[in-house]
Amino acid sequence: MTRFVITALVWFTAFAAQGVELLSGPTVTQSAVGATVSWRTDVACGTRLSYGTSLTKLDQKLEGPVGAEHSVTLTGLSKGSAYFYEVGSARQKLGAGNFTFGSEGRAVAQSAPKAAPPKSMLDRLVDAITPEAPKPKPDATAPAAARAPPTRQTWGRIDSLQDHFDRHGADFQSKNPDDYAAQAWLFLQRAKAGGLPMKWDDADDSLRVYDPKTRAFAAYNRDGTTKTYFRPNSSSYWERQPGKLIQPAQLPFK
Amino acid sequence: MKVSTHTCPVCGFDQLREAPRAKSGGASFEICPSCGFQFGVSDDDDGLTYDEWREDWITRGMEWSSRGIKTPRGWKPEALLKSVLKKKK
Repeated sequence: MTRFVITALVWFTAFAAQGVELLSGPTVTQSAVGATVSWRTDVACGTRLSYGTSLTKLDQKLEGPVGAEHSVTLTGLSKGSAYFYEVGSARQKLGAGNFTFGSEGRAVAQSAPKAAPPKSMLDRLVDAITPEAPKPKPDATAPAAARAPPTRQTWGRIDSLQDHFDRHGADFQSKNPDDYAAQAWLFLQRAKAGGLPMKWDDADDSLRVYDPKTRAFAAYNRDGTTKTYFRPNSSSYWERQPGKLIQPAQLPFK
Repeated sequence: MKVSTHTCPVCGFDQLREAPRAKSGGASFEICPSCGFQFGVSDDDDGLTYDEWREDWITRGMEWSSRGIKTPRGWKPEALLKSVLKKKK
């Protein structure tokens, strides 16, 4: 009886501790009539894709059968329009990305995690009882990442980086979260060299930087770590930001 | 050390790291891991109101938004939403 309980507990732990994982994708393949988004999961689960022309309004939903290979085709798309999407099941979001329909038949940017090999039951059990391993170091082959300090030194709230990358990485064709964080750090270096306007807000000791030519905008914490980096749509965005204009020598950090 | 937290005015998630707005009116730029609203971007750039985002989030099933921050144990979006809507009244 005891043996049965322990066995049941081990199986329960292995399954309960691990949600569905994305093994590959999502990838976008375009044809004359639409775009097909495909992805693969480690176990069979539902198929759901939400999409729209704005990241903040994924108001179109498509569903498919339960399985580990997922594929959904979007039709009725407008040529030249940008589309944002999220994929997953009804219970879990697994990936996101965007593409411009008709742009050489490929996705403009993908923010999906890299594919991982399938995990065995033993691996899952080990995962469930082992503390989280340290994250791999930034990709040194990426141009921006190679020139910047490690991401943990440049990004403010490291656990928020993935979400900022998912949302804004495509603005700068960032390859991955580390690349995105490095680009934000390099943007600050340009500002510190006197090349870009900066505003300091005493209310929360934050720094804002803007490039009028490229419309790139970033906000930094009092220690110089990044809060966010994106390209605003509004032409008056910079003018509406609070704070006083400052020179590099006035910054509280090096 | 006790870390101060703040409440999302959109979904009621009560563990934001920063106040959504400073006294100057400047935004925190934090993305609420629960509903996905980014203060200073979703509103100041995309022009969406808290109500509009909330309505859309509810329509999409009130799913946990963040991919980098794990869903807190015992997270109950319905209860948090109820509390934020109650405060609005």
